[in-house]
Amino acid sequence: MRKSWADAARIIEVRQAARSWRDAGLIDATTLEAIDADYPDPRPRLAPAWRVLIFFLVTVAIHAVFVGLSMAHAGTAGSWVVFGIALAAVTEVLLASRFAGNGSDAATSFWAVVDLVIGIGILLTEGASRNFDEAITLVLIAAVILFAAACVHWGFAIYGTFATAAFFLTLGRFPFGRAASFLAGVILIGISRRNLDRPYPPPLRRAVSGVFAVSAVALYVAINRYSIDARWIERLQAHSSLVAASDAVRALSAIATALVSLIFPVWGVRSRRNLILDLGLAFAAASLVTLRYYVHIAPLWAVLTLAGTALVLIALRLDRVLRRAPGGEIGGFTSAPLSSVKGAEAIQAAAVIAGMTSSPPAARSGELSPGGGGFGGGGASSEF
Amino acid sequence: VNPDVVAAIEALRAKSTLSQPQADALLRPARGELVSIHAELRVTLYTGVLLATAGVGLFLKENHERLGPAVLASLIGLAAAACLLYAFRRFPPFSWETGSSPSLIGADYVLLLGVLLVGSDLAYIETQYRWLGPNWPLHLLLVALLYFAAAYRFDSRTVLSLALSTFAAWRGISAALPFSSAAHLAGAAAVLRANALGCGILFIALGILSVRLRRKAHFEAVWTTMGLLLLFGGLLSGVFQIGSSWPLWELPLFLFAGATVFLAHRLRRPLDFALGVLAAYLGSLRFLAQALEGSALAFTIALSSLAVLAFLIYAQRRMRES
Repeated sequence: MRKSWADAARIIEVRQAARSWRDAGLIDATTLEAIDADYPDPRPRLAPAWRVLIFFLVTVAIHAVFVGLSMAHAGTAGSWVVFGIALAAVTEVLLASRFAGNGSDAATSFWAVVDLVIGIGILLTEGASRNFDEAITLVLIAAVILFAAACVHWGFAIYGTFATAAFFLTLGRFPFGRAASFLAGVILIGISRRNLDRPYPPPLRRAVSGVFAVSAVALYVAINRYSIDARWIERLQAHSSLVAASDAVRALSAIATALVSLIFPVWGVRSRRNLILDLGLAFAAASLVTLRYYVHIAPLWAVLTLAGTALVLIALRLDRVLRRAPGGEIGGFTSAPLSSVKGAEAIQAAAVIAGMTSSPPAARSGELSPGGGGFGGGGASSEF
Repeated sequence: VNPDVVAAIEALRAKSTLSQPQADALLRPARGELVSIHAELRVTLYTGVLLATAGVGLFLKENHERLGPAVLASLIGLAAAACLLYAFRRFPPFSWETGSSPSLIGADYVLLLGVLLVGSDLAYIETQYRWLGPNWPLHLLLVALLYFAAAYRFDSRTVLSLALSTFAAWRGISAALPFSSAAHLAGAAAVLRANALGCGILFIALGILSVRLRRKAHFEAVWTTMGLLLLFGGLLSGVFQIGSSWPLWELPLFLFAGATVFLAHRLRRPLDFALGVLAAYLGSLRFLAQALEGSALAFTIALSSLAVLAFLIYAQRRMRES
């Protein structure tokens, strides 16, 4: 990742944090202006709706050009690869320009990697001696390398997650894929955990979190009892034979399923990390579903109703206990929202999808005054 | 831990941009010494509401013959009443202005559970007793009206969204019911389109009225965005219909899209602006697909996409300068 891109990402991180402080009432508008002056935004920021629209438009343009070229000259594997390389070059130009971060660079980089992977896949399956099983494995390896390189070089955190997912799919292609996934999961969890707080540029730090999360999920899938019975990982293998697991392995996996769903929540609480806590809660929920699959303790409607009611009551109780605690916190945990703008944006996006409305906070913040219009800021956003 | 933010807070404290107490308060979360589980609690509550609602649905399906409809409807009604009573106690009193947040994090989720249970109960009663006979979709109108009442009483945008989608579902099902046989599919499409357009215009008008009359003006975005989705959805279904009358729909599509883009630009409404641009772009694609073919069509689509992109960037720059 170039230094200028990394510096820009750090500035955006601070500006977003400052907005979350202002929204939480910790600083006033004057202080926010002073912080903005100290950390000037090097790029014009667009609202999420615009970035999605630009990603869509660029995607349409890319595919239209590719289809047009394929019609003019018969498309081959080489044309996919050449087109992918051309898109990678366009991404370089866009990232160095003032259009960086508006969604167009995300689209060109994503399709550059995807086109290259497709091109490699077609190259491998062309010719008389084609071997589809081998080609699938090699395409997955190519996806690991290309997405990882795109993540590190261009700074798109999500590509780190894609690369890790492709890596675990690749492991599943080999004999002993489950054992390899377990070992690799443990190793990657250890490595990424140690690097979660390193002063990398923000996108790479988020990529490390993505690697941690995918590795934890892969580890859980490797040990989950239902996954072993359903042979999820073994089905990925080239020339899969699907031999049933032994009783000892199944018994061990039942114990491991329970252990992992206990270890992660405890680890999350002890380390005070939302990521680990969230993974732990997800694993606990998945383990309870697994338990219900094997042990029918009650009718499904009763389990769902009781579990739902219990979750609501537990969350309400926890919120009340935290609110009433001295300083509104216990052991470094609070139920008050301290989220950064990034987190809040995600919640707003979910609300927009759920409620199909524009996001409200900017209107509340008073940053915008639509002046004179009868619509007075309802749902207006600070970014355009 | 966020090393960039920690470094920035320390630098801002050194420059006195942040006071010492401010910096201390901000450093704790940035260093990971104070962690908020606000999002986790909300997700847990939402999951709980979903699970409980699904459980009630299954319970109805599996037990309605054994317990009888009266008992089941009463049980669900009691659960809904308990939720709504809880919401009444936790939410601030009714006001036409923006209400303050309820006193507990989960109150809005309990409200959501309550209104969903009311909707399920009414649907169940109607399927069992068939009081409305062939006009059974009317129960959706009743549910929508109850949702509207709850949305306004409890100042909930989520419940208002639910009310609007239920109202639109009532219109859609009522309009399509007479055309349920396969022979009348084309007629159903036209009637559905007309209803979508009608609902869209009605919602936008009510959104504008809510601002003009200062009655829950902050709900305007919900009304308008839902209205725009229905309006553009209806117009685009006309543009992309099979047959020869599609060009007639292009003019109203471009007029409404143009008006939306113009107003959204003036009012700084990025989502509505994006919807207007997207609708006009999709409408123009139909023209291109009709006029061109082969690689000429592909390259023209690429160029038109880039032209729209350039327009967006130009509009953004104008917005910043104004």
